[in-house]
Amino acid sequence: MTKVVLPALGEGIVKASVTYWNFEVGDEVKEGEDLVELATDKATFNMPSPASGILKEKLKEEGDEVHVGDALAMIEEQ
Amino acid sequence: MQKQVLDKIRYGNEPHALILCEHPHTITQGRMTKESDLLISPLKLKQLGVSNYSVERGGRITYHGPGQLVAYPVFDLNKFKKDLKFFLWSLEEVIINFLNNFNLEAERKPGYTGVWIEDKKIASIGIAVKRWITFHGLAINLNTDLEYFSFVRPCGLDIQMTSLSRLLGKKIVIDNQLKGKLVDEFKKVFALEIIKGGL
Repeated sequence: MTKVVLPALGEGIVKASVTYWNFEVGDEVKEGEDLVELATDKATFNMPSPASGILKEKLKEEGDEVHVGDALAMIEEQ
Repeated sequence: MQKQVLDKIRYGNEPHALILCEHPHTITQGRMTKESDLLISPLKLKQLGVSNYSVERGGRITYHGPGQLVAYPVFDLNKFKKDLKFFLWSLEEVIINFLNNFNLEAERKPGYTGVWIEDKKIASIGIAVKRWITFHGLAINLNTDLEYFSFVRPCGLDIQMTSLSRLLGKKIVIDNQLKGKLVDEFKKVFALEIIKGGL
């Protein structure tokens, strides 16, 4: 299983909100595909999937706040 | 179009791109928009000939239209600094330097992205990033008909907007010379060279 973790987005940015999941649980995702979109105040940031596999679990839903370093999802590699 | 350019940079090793344009009367709603940010009914907007779109940039609601210079930098931040705040700050710097050409004291307002003159907002910023390549960008009010901003709460704030023509008391012609000034400021702030294209 690969944990999808929110990376550092910039100095002084500690959190973002989940605005849009591009995949549903059970979907197959490829490494590098835009998995989930997050937003800070004036920017949206598309998180690429760190691995290819099945999206097993979303740990954050649309509207949730995420801190840098928090896990967003689990991907089961195939 | 921005996305086509983005894909070329992402997959095709193309260099950064900068797109300048003016839009017809349009309201765009960024990802953080709240329902209460739109102060007029969608039907009324239609009657007035104003388009209304939800877009994937950050920020809330704003208005674009004739007389407003819009710049979409499609820049690969992997080659600068992977830092959203750095990029937003740099866009503010570009706008502030551009407005200095007109001897105007433009400034940042702490906590409120954008550029301000005498506590009124002259330029707005909202960006999106994929793989650290940016799209969407900034809008500076030059000859903008500011009446149109009354249909929205710009950026979700109760603020007044202003324009260069209002501040200078004359009409501003958006020609290639003026656009060139903005491009020059992008070149300076981001230390870029123009290798192809033109105005």
